[in-house]
Amino acid sequence: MKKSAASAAFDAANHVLLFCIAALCVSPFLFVVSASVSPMNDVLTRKFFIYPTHVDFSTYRYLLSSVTLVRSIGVSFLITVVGTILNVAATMLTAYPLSKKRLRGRGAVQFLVVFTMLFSGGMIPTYLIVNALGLIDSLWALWLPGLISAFNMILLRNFFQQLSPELEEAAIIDGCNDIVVLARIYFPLSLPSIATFALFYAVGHWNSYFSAILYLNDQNKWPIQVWLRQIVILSQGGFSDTVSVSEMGYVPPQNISFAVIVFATVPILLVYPFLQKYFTKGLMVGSIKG
Amino acid sequence: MDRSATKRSPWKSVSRDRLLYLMLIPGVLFFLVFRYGPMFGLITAFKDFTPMLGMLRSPWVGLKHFERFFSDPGFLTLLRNTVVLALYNIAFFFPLPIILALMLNEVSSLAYKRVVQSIIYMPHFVSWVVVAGISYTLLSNQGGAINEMIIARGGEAVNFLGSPRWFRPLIVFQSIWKESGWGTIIFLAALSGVDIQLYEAAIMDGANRARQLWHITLPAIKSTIVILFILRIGNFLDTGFEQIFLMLNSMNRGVGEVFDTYVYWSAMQSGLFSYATAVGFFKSVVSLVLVVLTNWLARKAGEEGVY
Repeated sequence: MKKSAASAAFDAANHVLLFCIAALCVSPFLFVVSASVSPMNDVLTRKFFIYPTHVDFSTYRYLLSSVTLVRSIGVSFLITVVGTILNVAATMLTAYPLSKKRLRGRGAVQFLVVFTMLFSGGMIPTYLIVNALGLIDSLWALWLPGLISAFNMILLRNFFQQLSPELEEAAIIDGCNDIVVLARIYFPLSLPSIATFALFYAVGHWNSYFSAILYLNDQNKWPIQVWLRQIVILSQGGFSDTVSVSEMGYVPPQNISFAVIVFATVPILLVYPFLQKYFTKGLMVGSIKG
Repeated sequence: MDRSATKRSPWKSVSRDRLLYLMLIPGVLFFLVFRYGPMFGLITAFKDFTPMLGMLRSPWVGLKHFERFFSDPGFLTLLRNTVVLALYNIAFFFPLPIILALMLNEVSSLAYKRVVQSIIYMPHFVSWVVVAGISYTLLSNQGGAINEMIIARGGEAVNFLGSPRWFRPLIVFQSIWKESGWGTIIFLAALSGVDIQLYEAAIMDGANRARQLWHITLPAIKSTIVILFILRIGNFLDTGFEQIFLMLNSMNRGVGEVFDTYVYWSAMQSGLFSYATAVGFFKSVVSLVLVVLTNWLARKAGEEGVY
């Protein structure tokens, strides 16, 4: 079928506009990466640019020689890996029993969960509870208060419910208990949606900044995001009052912030393509309805 | 399987499913301690909390902190800042994912569509600290790239980061950059369910693309738009705490301070735990009312509710 001239013009404009939008999304990344591998002089003279003319890894050498930053990247990995494993395990363990309609007391537990999506005690009472449990300055303060997302748990429960009950019955006749059924049958069958949740939990841990500010006073336990914040503020003249003192002990050169932004972003962007096929599929499971 | 198994005595069924109950323990404990614990902790709002005495032994003071908050002239400023920012977001951010999804839906080349999607989803996965960091390196008036370009063209540096006038546009622009691509997913999912035959029939009837958009595409995502709008209203007071926290400074605080940031400063800087809890309590209650109200409205309008 032949397109009309108006239709063809619309298509052309649409393609160009989408290209511009995509460029707007990606150009800040290109700028930061290019600036991070450029000598300071280029950053000062070229202003905004998306590819480097001279390559110079001195910012990276400088960062990798900083004990503080290398340690904070390690801390971030630890927080992310342990936190995500705990999240996924706890979410599955809770979703599985609740997917069994025969379970007595199921309704009460579900109400308990759903109500937390409507009303919360808020930041300060949560802080006081974490404090009362003695978790201040412990990484458990980053793992436990967000252990289960009610929303994710209910989506996973819905997914478990859609699986055929015959699978479970057959396994139980073969002598498997509930834990084995969950690990050997439900887990592999729901891998796409579990991968999606794991991705979201992991991104949340890696990107988390405020919980660390709130619960961790010990600088040795600060994740990369907190240091990124300090370095950006300090290298820009430091007028924000979210930063109290210059804990770095020196004022970092301006293009250091570019390299730290890269460190704080790249791990996420590296796993992104692998998980992309899961999240578009898995996100639709159970739809948006809880 | 024997149906009568489900009708056995309560104790038998509990004992048969004991492993399932065992699995529930960590989850139930989590919700009790970290979700219901803080709800119980709201009693702090009616006490004079001191760290020495703790939440339980601090003395009761009734509504003192609420009275103080509502009579404070700062209350109206907070309310205005929060509401104006939320309205900015609804007016400028909310329509963009819809428009973007419609644009993507018109692209016939699947490869081009997929590449654009992959790119515009990316900013969603970046932390607010990174977004704030990029904003600083681009917009600072001490060597920020954009300001350097303005100066190089003979202009005068603009204080994007430290002026009340630029705060709201900056916040909304950050949200647009980070989330509007990601926001298209839900609309594209709704659009992928549209029967292709509807378009074929419309073409047969001589409908041009504008009419196809109006009569087929838009009705297909209407209920998604309504649901998301309701969710947005329900979360009206949630203005993205971390984002605002990172962009606030002493110069833009007058327009930038919202309930959440005020709660944080009151407790963690000034040590007014009870007062901060009262402010947070007020916000939680208003949010609850908004969610219940909008959900009820949705059902009345014939849409499926959200919960």
